[in-house]
Amino acid sequence: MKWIHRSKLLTSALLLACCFFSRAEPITVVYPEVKAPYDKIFQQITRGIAEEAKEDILELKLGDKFDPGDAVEKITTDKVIALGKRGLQVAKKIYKEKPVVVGALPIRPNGISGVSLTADPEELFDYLHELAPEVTKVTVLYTPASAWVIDDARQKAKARGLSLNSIKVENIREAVKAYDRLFAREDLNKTAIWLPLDPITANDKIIVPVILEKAWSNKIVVFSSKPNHAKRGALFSAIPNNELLGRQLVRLIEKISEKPLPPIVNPLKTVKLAVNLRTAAHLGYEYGSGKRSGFALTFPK
Amino acid sequence: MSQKSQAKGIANKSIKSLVISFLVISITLMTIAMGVVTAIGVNQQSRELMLNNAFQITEGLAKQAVFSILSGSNQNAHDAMKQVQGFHSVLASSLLLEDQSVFLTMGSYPDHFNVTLDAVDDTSVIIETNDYWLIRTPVEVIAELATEGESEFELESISLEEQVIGYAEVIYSKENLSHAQNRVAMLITIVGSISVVLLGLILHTGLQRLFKPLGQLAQTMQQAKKTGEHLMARVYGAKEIRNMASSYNSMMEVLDRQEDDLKEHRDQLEKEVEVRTRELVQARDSALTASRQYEP
Repeated sequence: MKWIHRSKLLTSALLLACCFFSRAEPITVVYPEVKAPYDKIFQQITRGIAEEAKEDILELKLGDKFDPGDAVEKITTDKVIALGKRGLQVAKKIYKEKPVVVGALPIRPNGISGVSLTADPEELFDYLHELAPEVTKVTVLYTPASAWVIDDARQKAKARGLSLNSIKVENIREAVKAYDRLFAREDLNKTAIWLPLDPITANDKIIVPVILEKAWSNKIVVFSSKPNHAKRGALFSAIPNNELLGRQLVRLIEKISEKPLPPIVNPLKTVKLAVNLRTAAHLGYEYGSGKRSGFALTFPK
Repeated sequence: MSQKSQAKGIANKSIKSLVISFLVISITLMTIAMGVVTAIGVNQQSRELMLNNAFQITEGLAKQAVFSILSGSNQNAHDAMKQVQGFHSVLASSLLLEDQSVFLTMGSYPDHFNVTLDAVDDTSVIIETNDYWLIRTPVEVIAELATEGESEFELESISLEEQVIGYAEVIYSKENLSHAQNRVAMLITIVGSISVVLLGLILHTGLQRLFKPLGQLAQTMQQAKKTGEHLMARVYGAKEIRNMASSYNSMMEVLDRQEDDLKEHRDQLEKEVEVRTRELVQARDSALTASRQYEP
């Protein structure tokens, strides 16, 4: 009996030693070297990655005139998280050979897994319900570039009792005409306009100023997936929570590392809220201190 | 002959009046030249500023007209056009489509205005007359340029197609420019004239005082010539005049001494002549007495 007990002890000790010495494969995080304040964003994402990951994190910064081929040769790990436009260039070189996820970009399904900067419609509709509860209809213009998130949005809108009026356009001219027709309608009561992360339908120079001006005149709610639109007059906009984005990226890379999966692109589930209180007051909304404490940013400052 | 008559003419005038005339004429010419150059420079700058202003108004209209032209509804452009028409110098403004057809017009175009169909790549003056400028600029859909940091969060594949979708034009009146130029010219003329007059007065007073010692010296010399007396001049004034006066006084002193010497010499001669005469008389008397003694 003694020898059975001893052998059990020995086996446990051996197992423990194995676990201790064979640590999980590190993750390489590849991201651009940029100046302040943009470097802070990558630092926050990397921090989130480090907090979520069980493995060690190896960082690889990509300079201004970097060579993707050289960068690939410096990657020694099997798991890679690529951030930003430069990170995507590296990811395109290796995604067929090893698990890689892309973040900090408004990506859409394109063969590489990742977490898009496009906010999850579910989050936006939740905030809409919280800040403008009487809105029942949401209108959004989109191009093929953002079609992937609109399909998802239709389901989620329905689940929340919202009616989603999605209008597909191909170019800026069609987008302008569609917006013009929208504002010419009289039945805009309880309607909100959603500005997606789309360079055509939410063009900052041509479309956004006019839409915000018309929305102000007609007292229509406008909310946006682009962070700086709240400052410009939208009722609220989504700001990425960078640390939680990092965590989301780690969970995704772990998922696709376990077993081969088709590429997954998830919208950003982790967003904070920027609210324009002047617009809110103009629309007749008042938010108590409890609600305001939940706002990451308010405008005017 | 003309040189001689010139010289004669100058000889009849006082140096003071000559200097004053010369200075006043020089300053007047210089003031006129400076006034003309200043007026040209100021007018040129005013013109540039005004044209720059007109360019900015036209470009502002073009930026605000993008949505309206894309939507095809000129209602959207009304506010922008009204704003432009609100500028005092804007006579008329128009938005044209890409094919140069008129999208929206406000204001009244000048009589005998000739429409031109110049397509432009940049804000340009299409027509310039004495009364107005016609300025035209393209209405463009331009892709936004992200900053270096921002571009890291954007996908290159998604971008806006840049294109010219129309033109904005403004008729900008030159009336204000003309008024401004006239005011500048008048101001320069008035200021210049007052300057010349004031300077003339100052010069006259100043030169009077400067030339007074010279005048007095000349008077003293004249007096000395008339009376024949060796009059001494007062030594004062500018350095050259004092030198002249001192030299004159020295000359008078020399003449005085010479006169005294002459007087002394003359007296000496008279004395010697008197002595000699006495001696000669004595000798004569002696001779006469001796001759009488020897007569039988």
